[in-house]
Amino acid sequence: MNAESTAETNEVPLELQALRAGVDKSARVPVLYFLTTAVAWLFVSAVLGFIASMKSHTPEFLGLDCLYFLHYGRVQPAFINAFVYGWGIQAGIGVMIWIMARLTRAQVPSSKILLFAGVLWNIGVTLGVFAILWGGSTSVEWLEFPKWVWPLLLLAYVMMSVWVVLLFKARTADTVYISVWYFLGACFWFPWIYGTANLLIHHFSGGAVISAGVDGWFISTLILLFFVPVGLGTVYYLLPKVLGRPVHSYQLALIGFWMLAALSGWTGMQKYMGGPIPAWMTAVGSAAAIFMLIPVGVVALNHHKTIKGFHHLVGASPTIRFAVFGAMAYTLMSVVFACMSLFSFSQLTQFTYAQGGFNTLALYAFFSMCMFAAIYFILPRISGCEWPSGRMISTHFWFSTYGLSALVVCLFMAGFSQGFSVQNPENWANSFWGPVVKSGAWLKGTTVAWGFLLISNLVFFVHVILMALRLGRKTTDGPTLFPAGESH
Amino acid sequence: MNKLSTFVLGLVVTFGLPWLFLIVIPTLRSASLGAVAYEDADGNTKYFPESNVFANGQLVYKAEGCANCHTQMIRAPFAGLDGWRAGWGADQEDRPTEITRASRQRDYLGEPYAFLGSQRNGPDLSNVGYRITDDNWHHSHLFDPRSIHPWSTMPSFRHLYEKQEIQGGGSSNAVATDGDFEYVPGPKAKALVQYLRSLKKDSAAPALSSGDVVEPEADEASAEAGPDA
Repeated sequence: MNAESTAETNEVPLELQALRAGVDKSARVPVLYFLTTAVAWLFVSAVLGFIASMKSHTPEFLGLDCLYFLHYGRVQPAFINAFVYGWGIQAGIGVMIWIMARLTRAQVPSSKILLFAGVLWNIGVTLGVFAILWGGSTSVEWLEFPKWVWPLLLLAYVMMSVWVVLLFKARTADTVYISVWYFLGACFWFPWIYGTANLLIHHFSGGAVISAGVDGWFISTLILLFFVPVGLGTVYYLLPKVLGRPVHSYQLALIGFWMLAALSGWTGMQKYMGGPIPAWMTAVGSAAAIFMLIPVGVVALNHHKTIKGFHHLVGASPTIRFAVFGAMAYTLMSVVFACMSLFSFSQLTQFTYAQGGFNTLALYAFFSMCMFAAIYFILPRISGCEWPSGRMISTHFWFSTYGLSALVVCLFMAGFSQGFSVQNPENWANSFWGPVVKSGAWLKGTTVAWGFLLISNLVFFVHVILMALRLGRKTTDGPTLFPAGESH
Repeated sequence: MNKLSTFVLGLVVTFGLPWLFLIVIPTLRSASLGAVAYEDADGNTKYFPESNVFANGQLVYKAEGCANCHTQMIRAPFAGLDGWRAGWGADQEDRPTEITRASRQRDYLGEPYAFLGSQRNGPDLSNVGYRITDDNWHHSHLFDPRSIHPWSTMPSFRHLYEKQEIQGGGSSNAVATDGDFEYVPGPKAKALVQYLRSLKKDSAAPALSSGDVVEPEADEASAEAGPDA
């Protein structure tokens, strides 16, 4: 099926094609830079994630004295920070800039400055990850980079997000698309959240416990007000674009967006429920998380109605398949978030690997798969050639799917086994062997899952490099699709 | 939704509310939290919290990422059975008479950041200072966790220990020997153990009414315990 090319070229007037080509050309260098370095960071973080997962059940893996810095307490934060800042935010920026440029039909101005911001970002993340491994971690979850890194990253981000706003202001299109609200939101929210969290934890702390609360808030709002808007904005762009039909309902999209905006800021502190944080703060977080099932349901309905009748495209189009996977993972992630915010359910999942399972759902199963969908769509348009191998795309998809499913299931099962053991009244006088021993097998499963993810990310990285070097298929017979014969 | 200014106003209002009421105002109010003076049953003036943690050791705890596997937070009964676990509070009897109370904000007074933790791959450490009173146990455990618990997945922190030649009968605080060499705690290991020994977050606490933010009282007369929580 040539759905993608049909929507793009066959019925499109020549001036629009020229306009798009101009936009793509102006966006080429910065977007290519962001996306390729992001994918490189994804591979690096997959390696770190694999090591962390091995260390969680076999601490003497790579247990040489000279490799002491690879112990779990250092490699786990190195992994998550590389993933969130090196891959996640950077991929989000790259995708946002290109989609924004296309939707506003404005060319990307002064791309050299944008490139400089990207280089600054990468320097910050590199120094930060090395610093964590060398003992400079702050041990503040997802803010483990040493105190001197965050101003660098914030400056780079503000520079990059100013560009997104500039594109919006230069818009020549009449309607403001749904994706535009989400991207503008992400550009606006992230500096506010990141700046607040860093200032109030590292510099103007109101006290030890309240800082921990602010950290919990940061993690949740980073997911809900950066990764979710970027992921959803991407799906809201790609689905109509590839299917050649509009989003089902603008009204539903409006409700979904503003409810996300209104509720997300209240969430996050429930990760420390039952603890020293004032109880109303954790309760409000839980309540907001449960209310959020409404906008999530609304968005799911909207997506479903948009793609209704076109489900067969999931078989052929990489963009559609990755996007649908990501969108479904969003619904699942939100249901899990609501469940884990319930006091009863949380007794089993709090302080267990289940939190890692949720993070995987949010950052990888939802956000990263949406980013993959976007990258498969964007790269041919800025490198002037098609993806060389449908087989490699297929490998990437299936190994990601196997790896992610295994990772999420194993992390949640490990979490439940820990939770059941800790919550079992008969274990009241036992040493802590229960949670450790009972989760061991599941943790080994997570390592197998990481093996799959390493392979999928390696394949993807190689594929992206080939495209960046413009070594793809130079063809006019349409986009690279999954190999014929792949079912569903 | 075409005007940028209306849109931004919408974002500012929807996000500004929680930012202000959940984050900024609680941070400002919490900054004035201090120790609370109260009278115990015998009429003596006591302070809550009783003691602070050893700050230098906490820096090592932070750098090594211990909070990735250990929590420092006893949950209230509605959230978990932490209070019932033996040895997780001040009472180290075989059968404690009361459950360990939930952690309170003032238990972390004086610390730059409360390492409440994210996972329990090992036991909670809020009150490990009551539970383990032997420095040598800590050093042996940090040097080689599996020599004490064969099932443990805790990493070895032998990089905090120094290798030196055995002189005379050997050092009294050596954790291990290796031929003509012995391992002794380095400065970071000593600081870390001192910190672990100082983790006693179960000090007696007066019942406080809702809202832990109380003005630090200067004189005893006005330092009445609030109504029973």
